[in-house]
Amino acid sequence: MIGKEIYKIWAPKSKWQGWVRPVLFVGLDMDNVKDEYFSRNLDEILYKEHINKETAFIIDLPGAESVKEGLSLAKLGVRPITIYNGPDEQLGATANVDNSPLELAVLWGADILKDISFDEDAPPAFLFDSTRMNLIRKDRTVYDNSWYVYEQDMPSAKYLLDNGIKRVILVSDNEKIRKDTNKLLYTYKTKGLEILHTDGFKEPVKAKIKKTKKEID
Amino acid sequence: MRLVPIPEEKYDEYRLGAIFDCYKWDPQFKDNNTVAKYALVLTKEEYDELVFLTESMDKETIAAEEYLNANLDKAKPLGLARRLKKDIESMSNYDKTKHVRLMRYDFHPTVDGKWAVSEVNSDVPGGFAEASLLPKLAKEIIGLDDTYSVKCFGDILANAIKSKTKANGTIMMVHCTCFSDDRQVMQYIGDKLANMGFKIIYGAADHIVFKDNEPYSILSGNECKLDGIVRFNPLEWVTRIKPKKWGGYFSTETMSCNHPIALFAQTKRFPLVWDNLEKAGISMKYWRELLPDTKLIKDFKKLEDKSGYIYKPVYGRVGEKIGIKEACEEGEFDKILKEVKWHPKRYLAQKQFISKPLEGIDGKEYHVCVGSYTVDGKQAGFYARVSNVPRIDSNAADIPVLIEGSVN
Repeated sequence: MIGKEIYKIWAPKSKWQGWVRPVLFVGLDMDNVKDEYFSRNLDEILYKEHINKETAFIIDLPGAESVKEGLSLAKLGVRPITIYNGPDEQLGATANVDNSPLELAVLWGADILKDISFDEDAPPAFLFDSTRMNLIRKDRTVYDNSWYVYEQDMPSAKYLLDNGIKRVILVSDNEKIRKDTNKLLYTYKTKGLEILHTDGFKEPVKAKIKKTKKEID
Repeated sequence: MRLVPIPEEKYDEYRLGAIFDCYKWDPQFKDNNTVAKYALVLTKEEYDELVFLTESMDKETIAAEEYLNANLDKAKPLGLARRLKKDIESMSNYDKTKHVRLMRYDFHPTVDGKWAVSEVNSDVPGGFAEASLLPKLAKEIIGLDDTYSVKCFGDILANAIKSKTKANGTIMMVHCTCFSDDRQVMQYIGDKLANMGFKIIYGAADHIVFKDNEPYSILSGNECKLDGIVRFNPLEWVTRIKPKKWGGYFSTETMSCNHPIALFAQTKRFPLVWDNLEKAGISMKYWRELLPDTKLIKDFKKLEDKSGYIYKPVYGRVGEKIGIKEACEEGEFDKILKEVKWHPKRYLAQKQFISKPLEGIDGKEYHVCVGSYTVDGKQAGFYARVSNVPRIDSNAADIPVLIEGSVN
């Protein structure tokens, strides 16, 4: 069972270990992983001067790009924590979210990650897949495996603050913060965390977070 | 009963096993680890008592729902949604020999030395793999010998489904496909049924259409006639899907687990029909003994009169929005009070029982909920959870149940 072995590499013992979601790794043992190309070059982190023990990251990029950004940060001492929580589709069905690029990327990435060691107080980078909210379903016959990041999938603001984190930098490919991430960051902001936002190229700036409705629609 | 610790040096191995061998794909909820560091051991006497009480309550529940199904006017106090009227009437063809009836009764030890039941999960009880595989794993890791028994819920359920479904037929596991914690429940039992020779399709409630009361899968790449439905999608969610094409769930004669007859006992308003049932000669003796007194909000003149009572949503699940002041998170109790005031029909008041916690070797108190399953009227295993507060909700940890002595 390869899923367990790969999970152990991505979720070694640490104060953030509990939040590594197992679903994607379970998916590695199912028959749905399609061989797809993705570039295996790791890009330079352009915001690296913002890396310090008081800063956590949320990486909200599509599929394999999210994994790669996490690995680039790992090489700079930031511990990647995968928050990929989307189930695989029924075999043979058309689905609105394709987990294959992500599954291939964590499989490949494990080979890089296993040789990196982290300080005990290494800050975390929480990896989201921005294709998770692909809600477009052409008709009922499509398997809907879209998913949201809920507050219960992430550490509380208190946990972050108690562990020395004072700010969260969101790295996303969208100027507008996605609904679920906005709700999470709004809570973090109201509890005293500083929230910054970058697209990975521009200097991180104060994030534009909207006051949220009670529940995600 | 007592808590037996998972050896500290083996806990990481145990947790990994829970995830990859026991389908526990949600081992963390907020800041809480949901894989308990203990196993729960029941004495043989406690086991026998729970089996007796569970089956006694279940007999009453089944008699009640069959009576209400045949006498819908007596079900009025349940306040079932008017939009379901025609569908409920179509259940008149319900034949329990064609379906598998699954329920889970949640028992709590109290300071009085007795059990209290907080609710029956009549529609979509969860915890399948935790009730089946986790105890075996715990027993092995702790190193307990065969004087300790495990009752495998999954074996019992799968065999019941097999007995009422065409051999090597196709079964759809109906669930909310966006939620991985729903999928884990379905995947466990689906894999079991697949090993028995069934073809398994994982799909959503609107992936089934009904023609002449027979279900067909319309899921892309998986179009076919179905021989069985295993549903983990709550009825109150299924019946909100638009456009409305789900009526067939109520009148189909194809094996369903659960059939929508489950809705009578699923509502927390169930106690409000007991007087009607007893007038019709149906005993509710065990329900009355075990479920604390339950009232409508309007039966109290002032909310402040409710000392000794807690608030529960009529269609709540996983302990959400249960108003137990000492168990609520910061600000939560006031929010619940506000909701009760503004939407009293969405809540009930129930007399609070005082939970008797167990003490762990860490000196902490653990409040216990032992969920006791029935499959077609017979006790079928346990799904237990523990919490440091007297409310079992999503923050609680799953704890495997072992029994001292033989359960055969």
